[in-house]
Amino acid sequence: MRSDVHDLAGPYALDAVDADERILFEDHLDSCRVCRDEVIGLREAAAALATDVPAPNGLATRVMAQTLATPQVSAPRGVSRRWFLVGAAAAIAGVAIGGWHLRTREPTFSAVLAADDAQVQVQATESGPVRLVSSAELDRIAVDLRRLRPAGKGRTYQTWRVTPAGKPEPLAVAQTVIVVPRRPGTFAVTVEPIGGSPVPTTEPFVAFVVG
Amino acid sequence: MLGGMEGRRLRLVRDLDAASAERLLARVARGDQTAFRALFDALSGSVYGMALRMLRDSGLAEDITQDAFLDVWRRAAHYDVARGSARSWVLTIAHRRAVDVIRSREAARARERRSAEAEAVDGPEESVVSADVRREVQKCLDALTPLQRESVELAYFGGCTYRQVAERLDRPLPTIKTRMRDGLIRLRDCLEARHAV
Repeated sequence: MRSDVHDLAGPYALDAVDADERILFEDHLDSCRVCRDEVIGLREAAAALATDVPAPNGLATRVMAQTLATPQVSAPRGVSRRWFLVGAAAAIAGVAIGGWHLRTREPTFSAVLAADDAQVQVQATESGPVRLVSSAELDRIAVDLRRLRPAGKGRTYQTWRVTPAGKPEPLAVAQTVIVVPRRPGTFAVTVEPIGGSPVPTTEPFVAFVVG
Repeated sequence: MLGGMEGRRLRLVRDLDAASAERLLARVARGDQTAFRALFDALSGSVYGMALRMLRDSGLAEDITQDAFLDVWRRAAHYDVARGSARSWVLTIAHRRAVDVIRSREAARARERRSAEAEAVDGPEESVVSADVRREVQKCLDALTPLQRESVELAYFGGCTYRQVAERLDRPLPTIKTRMRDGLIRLRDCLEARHAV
């Protein structure tokens, strides 16, 4: 599987990957100079596809007005050897956009944990511990599933965000780390068939409330 | 093909001097509103046009444009010119937002048991998008093979993952991944050739 990861450069530059693949590939970019350079060039080409249509009247004024109420994030501290990538989108089916903030690199669980305002919750389950960390400063919630026992043959773990209205939105099918925008709700994990489900088919075995 | 990328950056900004977009962004990082307005004026057309073509809804396209530029304002200090042009940075922010809206919409429809296939990608509706596709980009797109072009366009404008593209075009996954990459490389090389000094 490692040997295939370079092949994701094209899809990645087009944002044509799902959340797990994006995390996988960005981790790969940290150590692959060839892929980093390639992605830069491919992104420039993709950017050329954007067709020009003048934005509607009044939009500029509205955006300018909003900047007055929008604090700027300061530059990254120190020199980092890690690959800081452009932008960050959920790229996760079912997650509504609102409140997206730009990240130069999708943070790891540890990075969110290291935020000044990080709040951690840990729950022990029969299958192992699950951690959730939330940071308003980084605008992220990260869920760490790495210490869970394998879900079982033909099964996988799926993480959901249950909206305050009670609707479960699928976040990711993964047994590693999920990093999503910080939004209120209940973050729950269920066991699902491989590939995941559009709605939960089992009761969550762990749930965290984020205010 | 990959060799020589170092120090050689594709500059595809038309009316905006490439160096000045990066300078503007550096000023934005220091809270310079005038620079931000200039950057907005220079790039909002590309962002809005891209979002409009992808979502075919002017309200959503406006929202995406607004949110993307506010991201740019917020995070300008994290832009690093070594990692690509300012235009590419801004457009990537916006493109990812648009892709997420498309996928959220699809997921919602799937949950409502309507066929997602019908909505997947119909391509731009020319009556909605009176887009100014740059002649050189159009010519370069014509240089791609049909499969390269369709893969790239389904991904970029349709918000499809490569898996969805593979399923829709009934091709193996490795083939689609390669076509996306090769299509973009061919596009890049063609555009660079046309801008060659």
